[in-house]
Amino acid sequence: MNLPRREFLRASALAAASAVVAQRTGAASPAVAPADDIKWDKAPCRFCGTGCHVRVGVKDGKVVAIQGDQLADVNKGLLCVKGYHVGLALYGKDRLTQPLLRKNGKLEPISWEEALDTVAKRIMAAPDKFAIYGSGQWTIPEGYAANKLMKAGLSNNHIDPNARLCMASAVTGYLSTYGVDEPAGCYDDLDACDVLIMWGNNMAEMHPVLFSRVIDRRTRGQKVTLIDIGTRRTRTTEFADHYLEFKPQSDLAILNGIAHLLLKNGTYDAKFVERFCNFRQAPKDPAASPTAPLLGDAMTFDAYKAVLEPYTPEYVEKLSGVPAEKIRLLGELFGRKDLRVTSVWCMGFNQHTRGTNANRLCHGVHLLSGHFGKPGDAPTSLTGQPSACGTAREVGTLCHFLPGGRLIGNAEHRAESERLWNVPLGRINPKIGHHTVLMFEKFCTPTAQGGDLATLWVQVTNPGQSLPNLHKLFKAKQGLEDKFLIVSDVYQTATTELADLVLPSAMWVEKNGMYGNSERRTQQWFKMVNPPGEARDDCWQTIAVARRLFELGHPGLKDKDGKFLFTFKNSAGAEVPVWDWQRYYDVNVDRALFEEYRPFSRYKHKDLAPYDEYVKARGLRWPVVQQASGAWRETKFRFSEFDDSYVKRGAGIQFYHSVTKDDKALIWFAPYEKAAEEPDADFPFWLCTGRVLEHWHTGTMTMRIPQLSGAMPHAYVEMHPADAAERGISNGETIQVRTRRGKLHLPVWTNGRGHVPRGSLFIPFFDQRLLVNDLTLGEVDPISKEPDYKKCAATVAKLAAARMNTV
Amino acid sequence: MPTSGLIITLQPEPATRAAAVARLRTRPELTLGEVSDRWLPAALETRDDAESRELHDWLMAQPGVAFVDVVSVNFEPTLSLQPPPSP
Repeated sequence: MNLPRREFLRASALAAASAVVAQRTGAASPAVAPADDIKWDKAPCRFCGTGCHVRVGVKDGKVVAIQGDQLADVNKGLLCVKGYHVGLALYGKDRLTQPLLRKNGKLEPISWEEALDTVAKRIMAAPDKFAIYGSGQWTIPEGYAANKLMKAGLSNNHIDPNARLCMASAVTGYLSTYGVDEPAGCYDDLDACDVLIMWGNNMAEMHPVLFSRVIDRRTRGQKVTLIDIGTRRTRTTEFADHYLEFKPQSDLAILNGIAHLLLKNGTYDAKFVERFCNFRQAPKDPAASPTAPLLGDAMTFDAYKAVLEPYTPEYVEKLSGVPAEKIRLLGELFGRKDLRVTSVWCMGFNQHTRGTNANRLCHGVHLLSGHFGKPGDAPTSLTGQPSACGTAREVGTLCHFLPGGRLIGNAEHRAESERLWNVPLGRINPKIGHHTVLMFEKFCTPTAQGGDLATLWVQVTNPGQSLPNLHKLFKAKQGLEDKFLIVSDVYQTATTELADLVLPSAMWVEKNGMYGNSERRTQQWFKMVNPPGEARDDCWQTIAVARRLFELGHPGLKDKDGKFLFTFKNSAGAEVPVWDWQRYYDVNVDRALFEEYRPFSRYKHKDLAPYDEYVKARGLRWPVVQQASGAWRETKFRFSEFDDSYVKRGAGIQFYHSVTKDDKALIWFAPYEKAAEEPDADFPFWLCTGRVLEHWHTGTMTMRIPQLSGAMPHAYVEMHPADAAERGISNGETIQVRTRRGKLHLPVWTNGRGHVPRGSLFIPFFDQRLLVNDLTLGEVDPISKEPDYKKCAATVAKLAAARMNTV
Repeated sequence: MPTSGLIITLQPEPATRAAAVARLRTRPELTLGEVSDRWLPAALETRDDAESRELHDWLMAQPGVAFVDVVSVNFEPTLSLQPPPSP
């Protein structure tokens, strides 16, 4: 590289940093670096659900630089280690560049024409045996198009996103508490809270930019008490004022212990509870109706008090291992009215056979204590994927949802959706589809034995690595000749290994897109570079297959006027055949689909602004409400009169989608219950799985970025040094970890980045070569159907001993 | 030659802070901007990613340095290199 170029890059880097500092101090921005041939545009980061905005630098048709976007409220110019390398995710040398069809056991290149014909013929042969498995990484228009194809076109509800594996329990928690999904608060709570409780949430590694936001307050001299409640010490623990280590599954007992103390000490917020809350417990007959588990059975305040009576600090200590005085500390903090308390959680609550209940109880202690509805007083779930909220939840791509919070099981909701989609009444199938685990179970079961799915199209996700109990739920597909797996992706993955057809996809800034992050913020970006080879947008793939089905005469692909379901017009009013790839970008398909979707958002007051408002903004938090001036105003604090324009004047707080139709939220009681599988003499360890800072989910992108794979090259098993020593295992030694589902050989890390207590193991799931989900359980929460990845029983052995046992 | 933009958050105490800035000035890989409030903008240019990580760890270990945030990375030169084998 020549010297002036190096000097330019150095000057640019310094200018970017100086601009962020100037913004923080309120000073005038320094002069920017001299103009260069790099063209910059904005986009949300491709990775997690935080929703940081990046500035993407493009030169000669390639992404060459990334900056944190100083104009973005979420990250204020900062990025994490994954974020500032996000541009490199496009450039792994093994990008998929042409469709591949398995012939004689080998994936062979074919044309797009043949690929589309193959998909369409499979669907036409048995439309009711077809399913789509999607993603919280789908853009909003991609998810909307897939949902419309299935529910409005094929009258088939076998569509579910991978968000079932991570956020479903948060959804059922919100729905059964407030009657509507997603947090009331937002990231601004992190700037205002006095106490931040991280429930099984390693925020320092999983949401590092949000964590920096809190730590920065400390460096400014503000007092923020950080409480880390978890089953292993992490980087988050290093910054925490209090670390409460609990036995797996016992978070339910801790939450009940807090409620017990609030009632016993009289420090609950009686006025708040009386005005805004009702009480609920699990229904006696959960099978009475599909919504029975969400509605529960009513209970009185006195009955609620009585069932919490046993949860004394000492009893909770016995169940959880957390000292009674720490339970009292939590009770005291929640009982103080002079403090603002924010709770955050992620997979620690959600990936739990009692995930819905953990979510409910956390909302419950906030409601009971009145720590709700003011900046800094909020229970907020964080998401792991960039559009788990925007696409999976809001667009309603789960098998029981319709867009905008409507339900498949509700006749009025179906009729309203049919009207908005302009399809004949009765087009939408009233039967709920298969949720993720059931979908894969049915796909991997021989047809003669009840496996009622024959063709499965996976888009933008990697279930061959991320599903639990992979032997049963994924690998069992092998050898089932009548089952056909289609995978749209950007790289070869554990899922493409069993694919019959692979479709190469465009990713991130190779296409237009929209995401929705954890704090209800909808974001937009434009295509900046071309995808490699013949890779094409996922949304185009869906529309092109739909068109093939239309041409083959599938009646569902016509609306009630006989027109193709995906008809787009240009500004002159002429129809544009976007199913022809050469014409796809003749109109902005994202804008058209988003404008079609927007009216769905009003029903649950998740109002979205016009597409062009998102072009101008670094995201807007719904409900986005038009003002008298014509301007569009986002909402930071939902249900609170001071900020949410849907709250009646004088109400203060109004839960306007209340389950009980009286503007009140529900405080649930749920007892502590034992885990689905617990350690025993044969399998004496708890096994927990999770993520690491450097890698995002299954590592298909980050493992191809040299800076990230170099920093964390392979998976490992965290083990307590005393447990290792007892078994003669050294740090770094490769051992066998075994559960009732499978076994894995991987190196031990004692006293590494994370620290497990005695009797526990932790294995990250990012490494395709070391599939920890060969070992995990596959049991699901009965309400959310989300699997438990955090708890199962395991054993370890030195390799020599393991080999002898095998012999 | 990876080049990144950093914000170095300094500890509040003036003497510790001044000593930290003086130490940082001794590293040729760093180009420092002006301290504003408790933040110091900087550009970091290193031979390779391993050296970047080393420098980052060194920065974090300095007395007077509270935190290091990365705000930009230019990987243009990296793109001309062959990426490592995929997993």
